[in-house]
Amino acid sequence: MTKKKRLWLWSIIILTGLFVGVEIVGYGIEILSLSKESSGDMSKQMARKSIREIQARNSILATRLKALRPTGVYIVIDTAGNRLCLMKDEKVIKDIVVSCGSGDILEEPGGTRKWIFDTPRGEFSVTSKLIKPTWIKPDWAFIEEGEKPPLDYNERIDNDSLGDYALGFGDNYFIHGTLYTRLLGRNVTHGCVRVGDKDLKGVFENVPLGTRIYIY
Amino acid sequence: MTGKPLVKRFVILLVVVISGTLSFCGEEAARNGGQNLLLENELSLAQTAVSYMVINLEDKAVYLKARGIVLRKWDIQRSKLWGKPIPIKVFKLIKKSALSTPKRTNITPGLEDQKKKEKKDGIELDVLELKDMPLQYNLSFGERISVSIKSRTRRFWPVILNFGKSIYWFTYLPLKTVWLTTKKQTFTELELVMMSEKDAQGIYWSFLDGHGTIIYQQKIK
Repeated sequence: MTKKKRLWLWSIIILTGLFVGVEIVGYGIEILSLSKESSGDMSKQMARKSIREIQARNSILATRLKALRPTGVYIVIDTAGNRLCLMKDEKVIKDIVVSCGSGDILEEPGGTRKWIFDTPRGEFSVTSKLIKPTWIKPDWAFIEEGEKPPLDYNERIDNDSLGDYALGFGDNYFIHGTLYTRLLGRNVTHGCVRVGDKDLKGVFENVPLGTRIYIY
Repeated sequence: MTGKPLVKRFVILLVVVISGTLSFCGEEAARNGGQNLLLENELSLAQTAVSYMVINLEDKAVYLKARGIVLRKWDIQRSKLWGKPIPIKVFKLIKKSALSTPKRTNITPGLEDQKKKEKKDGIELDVLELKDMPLQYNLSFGERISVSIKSRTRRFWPVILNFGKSIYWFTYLPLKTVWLTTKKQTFTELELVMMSEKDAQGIYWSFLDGHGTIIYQQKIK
């Protein structure tokens, strides 16, 4: 073996040894830190309280948490799965396929306005209940079609698109019927929640004003 | 049999019983203490109108909750943790990062009629859906805490990525530990493997920046 080759070999051996050494030290530190933390972190925090005291406090906290839960009927909407669940006391009464926001973006040509067609997420409540609802088409509905938003209010009135029933929530959003039943289960709307008319009737009849809606 | 060995045996038995009882009480106190912190923190989140996440490693589940009710539950197949155990407190999600993040489509005004025709014909829609979400990603919570989420998969690229992640976990993390220890810093990496691809994608969809999160990890590893 030449001197050069031997030098290379030794360099590789030393570097590998160094690497393995550092790795072993890393694993050692990890094991040490875990045993240190697990042996006393929680018990230190709770050392001054007896188990009974902690258990009593836990049951108070659990009761307070339970008190925040919605009572009676509420709606849960899964925007990813496009499902609406009518719930009562955490039990599913109805599980319905719906359509939620497409997530598409519309920018006004030559303007500054921009719309993102997401279904809003969070906690809401039913603010209106409408039979044979009329849709007052907003500016984006015209811009999307490549038209100029009309100045005449009457040109914005659409009596067909929202189906037979609508439940209002949030900032002018609706859970409403649809003409496009084939698209139920897909994310295609401008933010509203579309439901098949037959299913919507069942929800509409079971939901009073003020019913909480949870959208995620 | 003489009296001395009997006393000796009795003392040993007494020591074993006492130490066993103390250890059990310690575990019980720690368990109740952990529950206490979880409830205190969850209560602070449930009092607001915003949903929140609970990553509960004891239950092997990720919960999306609001007002104390479970909106959605995703089961964890397995998890592993490296670094400092995570304290039970509320963290805010700072950043979601993935190799390829889902892109929104820009609507071209005037072409909506065309799009509607396509929809009626059942052609692929240009919308943001669950299937567009990444299968592997990282959630950063600040304080050097990061959670990586992936799922069991048979797809080629995710399998390669999973392999890369294993190398990262078993070779890079020990090096990082040594490096940060010299700087007197700590970090935590938690890896969650979800039951299905849909579950991993569902968490990405539901987890929003700023989301309040509690990571509950009573048993370590």
